[in-house]
Amino acid sequence: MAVEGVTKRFGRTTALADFSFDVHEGEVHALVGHNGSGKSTFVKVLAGFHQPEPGATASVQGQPVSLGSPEAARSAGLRFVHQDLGLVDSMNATDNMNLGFAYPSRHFRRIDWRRAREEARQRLAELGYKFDVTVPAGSLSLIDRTGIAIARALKPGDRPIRVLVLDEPTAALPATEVAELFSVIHKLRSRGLGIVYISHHLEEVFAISDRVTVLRDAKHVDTRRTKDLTESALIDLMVGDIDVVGAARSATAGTTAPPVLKVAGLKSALIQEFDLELRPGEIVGVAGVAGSGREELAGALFGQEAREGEVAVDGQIIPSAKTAAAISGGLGLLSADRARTGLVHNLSVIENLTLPLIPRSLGSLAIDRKLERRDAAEWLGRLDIRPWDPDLPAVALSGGNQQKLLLGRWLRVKPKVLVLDEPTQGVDVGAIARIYGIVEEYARQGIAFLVCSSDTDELVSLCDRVIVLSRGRIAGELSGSDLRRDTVDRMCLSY
Amino acid sequence: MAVTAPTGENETEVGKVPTRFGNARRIAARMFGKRFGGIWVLVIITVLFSALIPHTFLTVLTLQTTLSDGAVTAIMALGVMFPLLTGIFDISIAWVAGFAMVLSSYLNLRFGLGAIPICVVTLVASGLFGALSAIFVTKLKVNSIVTTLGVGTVALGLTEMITQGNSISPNFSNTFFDFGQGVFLHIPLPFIYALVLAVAMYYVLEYTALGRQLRAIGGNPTAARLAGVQVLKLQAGVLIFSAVLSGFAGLVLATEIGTATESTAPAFLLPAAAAVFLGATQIKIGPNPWGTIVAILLLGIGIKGLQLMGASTWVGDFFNGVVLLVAVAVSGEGIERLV
Repeated sequence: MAVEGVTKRFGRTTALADFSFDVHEGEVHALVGHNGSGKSTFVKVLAGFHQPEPGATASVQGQPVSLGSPEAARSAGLRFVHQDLGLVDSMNATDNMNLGFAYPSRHFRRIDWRRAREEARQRLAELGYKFDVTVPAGSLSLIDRTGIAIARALKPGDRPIRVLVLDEPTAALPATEVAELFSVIHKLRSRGLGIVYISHHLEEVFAISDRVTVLRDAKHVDTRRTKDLTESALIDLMVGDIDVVGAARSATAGTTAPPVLKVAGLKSALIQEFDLELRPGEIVGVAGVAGSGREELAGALFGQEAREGEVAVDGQIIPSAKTAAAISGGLGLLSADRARTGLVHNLSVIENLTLPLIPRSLGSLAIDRKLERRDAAEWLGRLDIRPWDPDLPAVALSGGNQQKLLLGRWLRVKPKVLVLDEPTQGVDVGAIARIYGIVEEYARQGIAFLVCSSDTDELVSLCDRVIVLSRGRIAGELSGSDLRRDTVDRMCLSY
Repeated sequence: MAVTAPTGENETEVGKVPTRFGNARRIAARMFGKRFGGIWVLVIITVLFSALIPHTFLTVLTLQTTLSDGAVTAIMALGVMFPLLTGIFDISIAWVAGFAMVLSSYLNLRFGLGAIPICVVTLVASGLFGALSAIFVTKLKVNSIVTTLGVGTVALGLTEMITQGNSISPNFSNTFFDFGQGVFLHIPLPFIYALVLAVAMYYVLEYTALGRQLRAIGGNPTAARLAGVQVLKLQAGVLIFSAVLSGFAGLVLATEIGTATESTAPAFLLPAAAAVFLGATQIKIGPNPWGTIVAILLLGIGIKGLQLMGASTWVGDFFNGVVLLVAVAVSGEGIERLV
């Protein structure tokens, strides 16, 4: 397969700029790049989910292929295993592999379950998997689920399969199971398939790929044979030159005050061990690639779900899984994915703002509306939330204004420690600037912030120091003149 | 409520400054809008029936029977509203009411208990059903429809155990019978109870923090929880509340009708549900107390008028169903907004 000149723009952002890529028969070609470099956009263009700008060409086995429709991708012989695998957890492997295609059937269109199961078993066995095809996929291990996704992607149709794209297949796989995946990939490679392997885990890239292409900031940087590269050379290509301009925050945080937040031995599904001390007024960042535990940290710390380990604010232990106790203990969480976990869509702007702490009239059950209105005026003004209407349904606000509203919700309860998880995701540039300004202002007033983000630039410009997570543990910490985008990215990728 | 808008570059985007007639215009638009359609229909059919059958329709007796018929439905509908607002379906209400009706009558007939002890025991027993549902829904995370269906059926079973297929005619004191049959200013007392309940619930929902938290749970339980709302505790609480209110409805039925059977109360489930969902399209989108009252009146007067005009008794359920379907379709709201 060869694609050339793929460009994709979203409004004013260019996600891919004149990107070209090819993969040979029987080759494993890795695609690497930092967060936001354009990898997932490329996969979506190949899969037909996005239409590239005009001018892109693609061909498979020399035959031209049109990009931008899933059917075209499929009939060209491209198959995909996406990051979330796309399985129906309540259904078993047999069903998952037949959904979307025709089940083998007998007379009267009855499904021939025995044949379906046999076929499923056989296809999985060809790849080296042996597990029960009749149990729900949700109960299987991640490696087996990945197997179902791969077997499904390789289901023979009327067109031959040429290329298999694996998007972050090992993001959360333990090392032992990665080896199993690799033996599957070897089998496929010997069958003549071209394999596109996308991953953050560079050790895997070196273990399995023949060539590697580096994407940086939407542009193609280089394509080299893997054996011609060393780890540091690859990281150099991915990360680019030393970022002299890297504007780190002038470290003014009160280093003498005792820590307001102490985390010891935090453990959750993906986090093996996490310790942290935060002092009042500090803005500390957490970086890490997918699967490193960074995505889970905020929720685990706040106690969204049950976790192990100790979290204490000003010496007071915060129990896990009790959000009300966490809030009264002085902890706050501005969660990622505000549509799902932040905004209450049937409530208005003012109601969303005051939800954790609704002002009551003295001695009665009633809400003190006057006080609430005054609060709303204060916060809507301070955060510059537009349109300026407290009774508007909160969902009517733009993404940036919604995020500012939620930030206001948390600052209003005067937490001692506020955890921000992806604080500027889906937020416009103007609102981003305002949010950063507010965070810095409140840090000066003594609130300690923990910022978990996949945006390295954000961490570098906003934080005093950045902790890097890798494989569920702390890989290191960067601050001062060491805190730059290239050093953070490098540490995220190192192993 | 004078709040100062921020000055700055974007004066034009700052919140709406009401024009001279802007407020009046907005109020007028609302009054004639979809959400008040029910009231208009209510007015129209009242006028219609008054014109068509003045002798039978426009009597105090008609008013009283309509209101007392609707009162028990209203109490149950209002009881089920809180759980519904938090996303929980409690379909056990009618069976718990049936249990309360039968238990209270039985306690009087068999043990000769007075009104107060009967009320206390009945309400507590009803609340226990709610507590049972609460355990299943909040601790065991079972789906609320399945849970309340099960708990309601258990209540039905216990009811049948008490009645043994017979009807129970208690010897309540006159004052106790007045509880269900009394009249105040020509309005049957049960309807007054329903009105008081509507007022109280309206107050809680509109003016208290609790009400807002309940609505938050209904809108986005994950976000509500992260904002510190005690979702599970409140859900348990509303299940107990609706069970106690169902018990209260059962007491009203027992003192209103005077003869308790196992089948009287269960028949109220569908009318109560119809009232809540129809009410969810009126006054305010989403289940709300005054919308429910309007719905009860609408359905009650509609059915009563048709019956007085000679329609058969099956008209009742048929009318309930048709009006509900029409209302939901016309309101244009999907089920997510109404529930």
